Amino acid sequence: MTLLKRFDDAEKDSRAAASHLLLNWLSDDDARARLYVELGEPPRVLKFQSRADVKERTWHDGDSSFRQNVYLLAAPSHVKAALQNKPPFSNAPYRALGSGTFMLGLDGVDHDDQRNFAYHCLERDVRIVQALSNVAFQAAAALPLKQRSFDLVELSEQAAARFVGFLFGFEQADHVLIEQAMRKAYRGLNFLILGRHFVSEPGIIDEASRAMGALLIRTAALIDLYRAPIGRHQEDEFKKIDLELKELQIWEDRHGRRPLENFIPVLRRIAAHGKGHQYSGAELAVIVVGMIAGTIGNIQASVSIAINEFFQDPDVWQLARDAALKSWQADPDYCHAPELERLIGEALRLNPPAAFLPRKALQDVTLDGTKIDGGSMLIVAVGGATLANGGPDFRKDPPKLDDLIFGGDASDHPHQCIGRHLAMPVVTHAVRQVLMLHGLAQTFDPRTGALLRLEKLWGFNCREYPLEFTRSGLLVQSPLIVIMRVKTPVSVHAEELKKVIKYGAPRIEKKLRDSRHVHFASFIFLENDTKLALYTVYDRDFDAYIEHFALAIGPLFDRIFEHIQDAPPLPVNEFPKEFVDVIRRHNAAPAAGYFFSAYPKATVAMIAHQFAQDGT
Amino acid sequence: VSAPASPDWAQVQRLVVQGSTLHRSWHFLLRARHPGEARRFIEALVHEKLISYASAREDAPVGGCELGIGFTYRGLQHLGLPWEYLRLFQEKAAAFAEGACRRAAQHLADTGASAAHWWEPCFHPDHAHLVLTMHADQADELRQCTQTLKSLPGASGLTDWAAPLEASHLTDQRQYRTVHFGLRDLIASPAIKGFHPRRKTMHEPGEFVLGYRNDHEFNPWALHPSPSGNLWLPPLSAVKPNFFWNGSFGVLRKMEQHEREFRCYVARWAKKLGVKEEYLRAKMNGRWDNGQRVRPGESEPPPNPAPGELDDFDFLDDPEGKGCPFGSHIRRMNPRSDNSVVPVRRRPLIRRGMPYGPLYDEAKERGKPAPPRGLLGVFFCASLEDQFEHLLAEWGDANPLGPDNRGNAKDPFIGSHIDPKSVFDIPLDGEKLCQLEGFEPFVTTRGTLYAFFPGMAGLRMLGESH
Repeated sequence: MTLLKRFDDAEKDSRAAASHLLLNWLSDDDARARLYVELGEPPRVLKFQSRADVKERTWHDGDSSFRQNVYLLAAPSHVKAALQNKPPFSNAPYRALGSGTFMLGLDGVDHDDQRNFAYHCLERDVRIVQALSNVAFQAAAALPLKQRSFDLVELSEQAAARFVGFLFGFEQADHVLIEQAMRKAYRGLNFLILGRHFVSEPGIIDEASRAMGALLIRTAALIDLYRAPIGRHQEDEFKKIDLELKELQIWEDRHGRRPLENFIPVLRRIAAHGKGHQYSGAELAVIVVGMIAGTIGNIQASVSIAINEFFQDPDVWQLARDAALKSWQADPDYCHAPELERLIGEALRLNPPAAFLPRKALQDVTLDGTKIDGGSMLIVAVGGATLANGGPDFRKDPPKLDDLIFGGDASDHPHQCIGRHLAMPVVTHAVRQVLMLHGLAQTFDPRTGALLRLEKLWGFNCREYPLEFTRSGLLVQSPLIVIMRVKTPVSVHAEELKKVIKYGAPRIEKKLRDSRHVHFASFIFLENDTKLALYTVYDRDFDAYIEHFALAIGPLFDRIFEHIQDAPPLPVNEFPKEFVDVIRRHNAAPAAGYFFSAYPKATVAMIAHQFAQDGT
Repeated sequence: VSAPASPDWAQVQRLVVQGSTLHRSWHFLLRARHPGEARRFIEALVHEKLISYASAREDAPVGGCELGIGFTYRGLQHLGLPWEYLRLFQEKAAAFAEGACRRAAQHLADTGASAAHWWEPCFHPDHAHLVLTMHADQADELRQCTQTLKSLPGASGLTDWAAPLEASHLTDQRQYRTVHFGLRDLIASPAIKGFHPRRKTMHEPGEFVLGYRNDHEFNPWALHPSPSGNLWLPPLSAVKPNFFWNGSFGVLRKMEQHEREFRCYVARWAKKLGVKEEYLRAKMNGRWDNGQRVRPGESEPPPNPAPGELDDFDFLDDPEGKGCPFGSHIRRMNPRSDNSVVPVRRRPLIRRGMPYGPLYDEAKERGKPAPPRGLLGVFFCASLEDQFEHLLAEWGDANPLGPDNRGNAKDPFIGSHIDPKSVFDIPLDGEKLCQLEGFEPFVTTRGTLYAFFPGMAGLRMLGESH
């Protein structure tokens, strides 16, 4: 039975049940694709019952009603018609997120004007965008790639937020603000577009508006600051931000070139642009925040979608890996990767990051026999159109990016430009770097054994994508910080411990030297001798490292553990596995998982061999 | 109850410590649809004495069929093994409890085309509960044995009998087995104290069989309350420790070998370096095709060695890797007495693999897709983490810590090579530099399964209380 037949049958019994069915299909990649095919041939508009309030905001006049007809447009011709940015289709639904000047919510001339101005102020030098993508990814990866498991959605969100921060000229301390605002805005936007028609999440749109508001305030303040800092306080702040910009501008690639030397962030361009004065500070901020909202969400979703899609088919995965490697070998700094871009484009065609767009029908309109009442909400399923736009063979076709992929209509030049020239380089760079990680793999649920894929709420809001990689490919050393509580009375046991360490030192020294996999080791008494900390830096496998010491100097550890609370079973060399467990439990991770090494790939053995060869 | 000092070998499954010299093997990966029925089936296996246990007789019963049985962690859960036992597995054998799929990327270096999510369905988590492994000389004998098993009480509670994993030797000489890539096989096998005849290197039973001391003089499966208590273990009074004793952890690993790519690679580099293909293959492997290890200064294979010489050696006379390179397959997978590998710990592994697919025939296969071929590896050890996984992840996927290996390539045979610029270093006398590059994966993992092969008492307990 076709999905539409099932939907129609369900509607006869209960419209709510039919809507529920629809949400289930939209949330599932396979079912959604089937639904789009059915809605495309012959073209059909799907009318369903929405749970969203007919009032945009609770304080608006009029009565609330939670049963309105909403129309899902997925047939390619319908999608194109609705995205023409012309009456009777309007962008009005976006207005719920912010003021009347919120860019996405504007129609016609206002909308075009703002976009065109914004577009003029954007960086368009490919080299600069590529270099910024590189710097942003490195900044985003500094923490997550110190661990063997990471969340790709978070990593790509961080890369996008860092990129946006650099590109627009925010202060680095604004990163948290950008991140928070965008997370809430993305969530709110997704709810506004699709979620609210199926589920209730009171307050979520208000929360998004507030978060966007905070970023608006900061953006407006920065534009003013860049126009002319007034007073000592602003001058100091300007100097601080200027210093950050200079740091960015002197960034050097592997060949000692400085591609960012003449880079000027967007907010500074806006502030300096003569035409900028025709808009108020608030309007300019609205434009910027609008651009940021779209950019970050799309980058984050695109990176996650592309990697998830590559993992579906070993051949495609291999093609993507080869393309990434080829591009990386040609130039590790600037990601020029047309083949990879083509594969990403294909992945995004199957699952567009801006999967649904909201529109409103201003007057009655009939599409292929279905009458849409004036004033009704529409959901435009971009994927319905992109899915039908597949080339004969994406592996061979020249690079092509469907105009619809990043949302907006094909004639919307600035929008397309942001997608193609700003978002796509960041996406491609991030995808390439992730593909280059040694031993990149998807993970399995520890409890059920099920493969963990990209988790998307309602089929498009990327939530989580746990991946893992071989950490030692990037960083071979690890810190071990074991903090153990000294037995009471502390004064007695701490003294005994000091004696053990003192007389045991020669033996510890010899064993550490012989082990050839420990870089540094020290003991530290903390908090008035109530705790004993062992700090070491070792190579590669934790279990093998710890077990080795249980077996090599077990008796010495026995003497230490006599004075420690919660000791493992003794003697240690009889119970090395239990010893490893205790050390694992007491191992305090460094703050935020941050660990620096000046020589991340050198093992003790390699260093020792090198010294031996040099005769030192 | 404390375990005896050494195993009663007649309680240990034959395949684990003795192996098989028979020509063919079938491995059934079965699901227990009805746990009660499956237990009845196990009881019948025990009652009919169908499982082969180790014996002092070295020669195989020609004309018969040897049978071994193992259980996945999910299988033990499904069969209703009490939680105290499962908890002990979780604590003491985390890899077994988690299953090979979850361990694949980090601990088995199975990524790229070898990634677990692309493994054959029978290896997916939660698929197989029980492994029946069967050896015989003739396919008819295997079929007959299968019929016998399927007619046992409770057999109807098990599914997936239809498609066993099949393997068969490429030669019919029991003393001279080979595997694909033209290599001699079944020559390296650890000798166990109290079971095998005396050799230069002997291992404690605890390296392979649960419940005994290992080479490092501790017994992880002693299961007696420790002097200072061991709070995170379940109440041991509820556990009969002999469930674990004499059991062993088995690994079933299907590795597809891309022989054409391998041969082309060797031919290309042999030509480039002006050496014979066999020489290059020997340097990559660490052994000549006839199985003799490569000694410093050798450029030709020595005459066929006596079987005893093939495995009874160490690398003390080759400290710089000028015979057997540090990066070669056998020196990684078994550094023997090479104490430069740190952390110092022996990691012996019992290998019981058998090839599948036809012998490579270049002329016949030219221009056609290669038929699937490879190795159906079967391995045994007492600790999957310390032995099997350490070999693959720490010694195969990366350079073993310690030796002065100037190369950075992964294991040349089984490595999941991704960086074409990585280098395999062949140290030679003098200044001559001999390095290989441009590796591609010659082996793709098609699946891995972890199973517990219980001793006689353990199997009996699993069959009880249905």
